Amino acid sequence: MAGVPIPPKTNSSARVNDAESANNPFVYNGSVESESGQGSGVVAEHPNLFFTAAHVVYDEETSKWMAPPLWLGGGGREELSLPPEVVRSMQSRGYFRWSAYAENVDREGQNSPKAFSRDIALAWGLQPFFLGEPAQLDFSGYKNLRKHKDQTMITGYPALLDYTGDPGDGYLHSTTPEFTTFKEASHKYLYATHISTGPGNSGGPVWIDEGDGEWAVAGLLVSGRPSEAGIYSMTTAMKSFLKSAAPAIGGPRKSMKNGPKAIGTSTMRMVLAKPKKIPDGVHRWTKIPFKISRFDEGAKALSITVDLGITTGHRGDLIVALLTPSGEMSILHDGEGAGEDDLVIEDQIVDMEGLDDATANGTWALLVQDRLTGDPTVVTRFELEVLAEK
Amino acid sequence: MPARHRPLLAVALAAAVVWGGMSLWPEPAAVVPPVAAVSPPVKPPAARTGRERISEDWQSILAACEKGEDPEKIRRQLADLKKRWLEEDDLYLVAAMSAHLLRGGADAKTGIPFEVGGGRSLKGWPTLRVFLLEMLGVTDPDLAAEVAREVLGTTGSAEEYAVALKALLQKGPWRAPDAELEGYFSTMLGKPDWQKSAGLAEALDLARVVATPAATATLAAWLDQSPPAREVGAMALHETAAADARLVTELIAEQPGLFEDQGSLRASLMARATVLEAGQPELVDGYLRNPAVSVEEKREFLAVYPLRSATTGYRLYGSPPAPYERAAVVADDQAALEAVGRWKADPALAELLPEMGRLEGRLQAWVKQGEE
Repeated sequence: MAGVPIPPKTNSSARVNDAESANNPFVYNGSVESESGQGSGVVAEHPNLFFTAAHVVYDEETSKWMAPPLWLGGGGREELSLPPEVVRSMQSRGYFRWSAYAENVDREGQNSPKAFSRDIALAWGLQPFFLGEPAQLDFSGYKNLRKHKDQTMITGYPALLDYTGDPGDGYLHSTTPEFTTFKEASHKYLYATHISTGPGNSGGPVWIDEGDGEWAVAGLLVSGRPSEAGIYSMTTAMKSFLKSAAPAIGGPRKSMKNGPKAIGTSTMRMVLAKPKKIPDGVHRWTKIPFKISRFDEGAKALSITVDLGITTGHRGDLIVALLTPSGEMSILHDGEGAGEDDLVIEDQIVDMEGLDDATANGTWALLVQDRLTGDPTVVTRFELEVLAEK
Repeated sequence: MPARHRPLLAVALAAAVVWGGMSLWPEPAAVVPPVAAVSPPVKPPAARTGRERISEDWQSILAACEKGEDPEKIRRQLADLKKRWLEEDDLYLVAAMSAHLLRGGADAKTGIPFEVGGGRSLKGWPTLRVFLLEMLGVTDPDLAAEVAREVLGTTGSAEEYAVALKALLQKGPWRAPDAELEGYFSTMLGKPDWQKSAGLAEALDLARVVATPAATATLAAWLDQSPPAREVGAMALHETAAADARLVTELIAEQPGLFEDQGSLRASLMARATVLEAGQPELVDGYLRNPAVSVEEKREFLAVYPLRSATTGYRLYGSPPAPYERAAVVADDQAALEAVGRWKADPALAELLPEMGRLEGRLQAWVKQGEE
């Protein structure tokens, strides 16, 4: 019919052939089985961790805790040629989900945008789910997916393909890499039209092309319709999630420490120019500011190191804190060591817990109080090193 | 009193008098010459004093809120305001002005939902008073604690109450005694109008952070009444139990009627028991053999025991929960496996054999994983 526009074709998941499924990034995929059903997942940031959708491990009807989910690396299909020593199947030992997920489900229902905006779970195991370097997260997935400047694709194990009605048969499927337009539905919850997978694929990774054959996990599939996909997108909040799981898997590994491997970084070191006297016995902050402006606009701080020397007769009188440009405060010293003299902190990495959103540019400040009278106190040395995204 | 232990009360009082005597920071009249009908010269931004800058900022954001401007725009303005005020050299000036405004009752709704971000700081301020309370907490913790106690005694806002409590949970000399915090917590949970509020939901984490039997008992007693925020309360109690299982398991053992109408909740809370800790195996044994606990509840317990999954997220008072350590989990699984072996051999628990068999299978797998 002349003049009638042909609707754009929906990018529907198609089976990944056996040979290709052993390649990056398909090899990080697995199916996930829990008491509430089956989903998909991806091993990322640590071999003992996999991500899936929270609703895969949470039953709205009962709101009960469930036994930890089972990971089936490569979908658990033994007839495929995936190397079993690399792709493993194993029961996880536990999982984390956002507290706000159940709260949002309780208030607005499991299929609400608010619930989808928190719909992620991180399962952890006592052994690796994948033997080798895991996939990397794109902590800027929320931003990058909306830019649609890089190709993306969604992988996983749909039980049924929504758009075509074909069965998934437990095989790995993927949408075709393309420049998909993702739009925001509710904070962190994005959606795209003309792209489709199917039930059972919840928790399947949304990959973003990082060039040179490298793909990073920018989000997880959490909802869908025959021609639409809903995505939980990654942000720096994932670092807090990963830190919650770190002790359970025996501490962070290098790739969890926001190391330079993950993304381009830049370092800035600021040094106190001259000693600063702190008023004696005054219950107010003395502020020693450092203005930083050389990082890219909007860059987040990844790691903060301080080197500090304060001469005093009574270390126990001092309260010392670091203030980020975004207003988060981290106490470095809170009066420990009563009766001892000088406070020395040598190249200490500031606990970044809660500083995940700290912007790198702006005014950083050392805050000091000498709360009791009787001893002169002088900050003689202060160096601040900020490692940030490039 | 030795000199080293003398607080500078006089300084604080002087400051309070100065600020208490001012309206919204008018410039001293004597400084401004009475020039008729001529617009006063506008000072370039750099020449304005800190007090002028803060005062103008406040008037501007107050006007934006009163005009009902887009909440997202107001959120950005407040985030920018926070940044600029923290860049002031004299943080005490920011603190004193914030305290003055709070004591004067100035306020406006922002339309922004209450939200906590990283670093125990707020990302969403539903009212300007909530914003001021947060600014005060950062810029002068001593003054913040003083104002917080005033607010806690007078406010009608759950969100203000929650943020005021933060000033008393600050590490260091500002931390209030446990008994005082427990009292505020109990008062908050008893407010009928706050039961569905975001402020109350956030403040439930106080039980985990204070980590005392009294705070845990207060939270549990409130939750036992199945309040509207039951789901959030159950999570808060689970997070308390994940951080220190004894606080909750001992409470359940001491109060047989607790959660008797919420069997699933009680079962999952008991499933957080840490078998290696003194007294815990006996509590778990007692629970399993308690005839007052239904078989169905015991089955639910065995289906998740030992429960090591958890919830987490940004918190206003403490660090995001990260409750489990690998070595303790592995050792505890081993001890739990041995306990299950004993339970299976006990005829008194025969009706639970199928569930115990499945639990044994899970534990064997985990113990093996832990050994590798």
